[in-house]
Amino acid sequence: MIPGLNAIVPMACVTAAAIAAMTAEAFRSPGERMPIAGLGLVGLAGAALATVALWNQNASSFGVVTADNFGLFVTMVLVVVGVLSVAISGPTIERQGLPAGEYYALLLFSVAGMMLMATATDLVVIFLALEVLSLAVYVLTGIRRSAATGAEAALKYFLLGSFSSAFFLYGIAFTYGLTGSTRLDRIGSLLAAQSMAPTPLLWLSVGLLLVGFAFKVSAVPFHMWTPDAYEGAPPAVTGFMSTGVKAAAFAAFARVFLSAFEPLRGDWTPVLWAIAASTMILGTVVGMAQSNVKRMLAYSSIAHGGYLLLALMAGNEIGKGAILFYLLAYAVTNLGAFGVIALLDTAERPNDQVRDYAGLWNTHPGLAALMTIFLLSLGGFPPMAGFVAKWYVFSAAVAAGYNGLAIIGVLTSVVSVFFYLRIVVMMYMTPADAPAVFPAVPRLAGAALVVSAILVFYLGILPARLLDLAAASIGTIF
Amino acid sequence: MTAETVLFYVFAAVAVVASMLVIAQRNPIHSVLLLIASFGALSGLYVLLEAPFVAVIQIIVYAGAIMVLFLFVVMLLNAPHEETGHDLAVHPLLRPGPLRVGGVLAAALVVELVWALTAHGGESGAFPSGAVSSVAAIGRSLFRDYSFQFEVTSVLILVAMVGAVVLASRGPTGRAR
Repeated sequence: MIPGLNAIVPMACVTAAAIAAMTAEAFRSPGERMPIAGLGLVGLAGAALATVALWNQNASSFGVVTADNFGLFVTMVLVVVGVLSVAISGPTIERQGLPAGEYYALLLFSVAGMMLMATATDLVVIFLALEVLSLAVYVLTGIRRSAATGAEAALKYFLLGSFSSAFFLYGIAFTYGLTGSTRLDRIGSLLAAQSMAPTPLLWLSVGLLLVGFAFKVSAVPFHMWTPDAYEGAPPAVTGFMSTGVKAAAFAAFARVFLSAFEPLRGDWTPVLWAIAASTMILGTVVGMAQSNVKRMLAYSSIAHGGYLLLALMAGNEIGKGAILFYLLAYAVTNLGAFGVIALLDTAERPNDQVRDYAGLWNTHPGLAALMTIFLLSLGGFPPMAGFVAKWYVFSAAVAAGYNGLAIIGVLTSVVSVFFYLRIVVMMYMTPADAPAVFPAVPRLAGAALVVSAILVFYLGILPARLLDLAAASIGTIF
Repeated sequence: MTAETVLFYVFAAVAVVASMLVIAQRNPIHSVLLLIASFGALSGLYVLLEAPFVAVIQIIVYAGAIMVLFLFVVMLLNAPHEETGHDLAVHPLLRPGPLRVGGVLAAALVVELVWALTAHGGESGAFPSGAVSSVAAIGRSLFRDYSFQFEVTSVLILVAMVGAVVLASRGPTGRAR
């Protein structure tokens, strides 16, 4: 193997799987069934093996991709996201009659883009990765072509996403113009060396990059697309994009702002303070008013983005580890929740209103129990993963002196329990007025949900090992 | 008169005449085709200015990609002939809506051009450094320094193609999926 290419092996595996899926679909004779999902799982397994092999190697390729432990941890999270998404996509594809080959190909391309975004150390590469993953996700959002909501969601997401990409690119251009480089380390050392006061142009470039990232992590006030896109997309896709895009975007966000723009910390923290506070508050408050489970989880995802911003702002050792752990915990939990929604979703009826969940305990006790676990973890109940993740984030914030934000975070997560519990109450205590007919649970998807639930408990009860890994990861950079 | 001067006048004449014909056509398709001719002539002017890269980009991006977009829009709108309902005798600035905006923009362009040509005149000639804009130098840095970015771009275009096919294709039975 050529040593210079080591760092890109994980994403190369996933890209190869994506191309294989695409080619398999192209040469498939009509009506023939192919295990295309299996191809995706093979590619993701290859990426996982490569990630494990690269651990602690600090490999670098082309000077623009660095497989440090931080990036590898996020890559591993993305592998988990990819595997779970592939597993829960099966029923959606079958029931909605979606084109399987293209669906998996786009999903895998998107994962490859996310991995690149998490390990890239050059602004141009981060932008290219962002576009690879965004384009694929835009199409996946609108892949249900018969549904008007899907088209609306995809169009909104695409238009607003293009604007945010343009902002991001402008930010890169200004940064390049001011520093003469797009490499994060060079920008960082240049900014650190300049003792002079930052120019308005520098603020402009940082601000434009901030807008681009804030859009991708759906932070207030750039969250407008989130509820519509999450509601219109097929539930499996929503689960994928709420976790994968967030993980990749936060990895790049942390890398850019905690390494390249670290010298300007005093200038961007007040802005992030306001964004984080309003994101947590708005996500929770508006989430309470939703009657659609997908919209509710969209606002919940906005609020979780706020907690992650809190960890990013703290920026201390605990905070950086907290970002990684939170991304993993959130990925497993949220994909599980959307997996349950995906299993209840049929071509005739999306079954995504809160009242559709009435009496689920009687018809599908297993799914109801799993949904309860995921919702409680999202709400931050011990002993689930969500509790440890939130506790870690808030302790990082307190350690960094952001007591006010930590209080807002704790209060909003207490309030958010209300809307998570509303669904639980629906499932167990409300009899269904007209018993909804839910389809049977496919084996692979069911197994994926059980594995997620086990992971949720594992991360909640025995987090020490993963926390150590996360803490070790951040030592390699920043 | 050197060959270069002759070529300059030829290209300039083609560009000016084609551009004037663009706005004189009734059929939008003819306008688009003439605009391509105008872009081709401009590209020739760039070659004379020793900016081969800009010339090539002019052909690829403008005459190629952007014109195809224009043609698509014209064909999608299915408007073979420009609407001529309004009274041509009215002064352009007094005509309704878009025409008035166009008139204002044209006036702004004239003012701008006059200002630019009078205020900074006398600085014509080739661009100072041919190295930056030479195709060879750009190609070298594209395939050596930026080879990885180049490859990632190819994946990006592949994703865009797959996405376009997914969103636009019809199922095997011919009905929209």
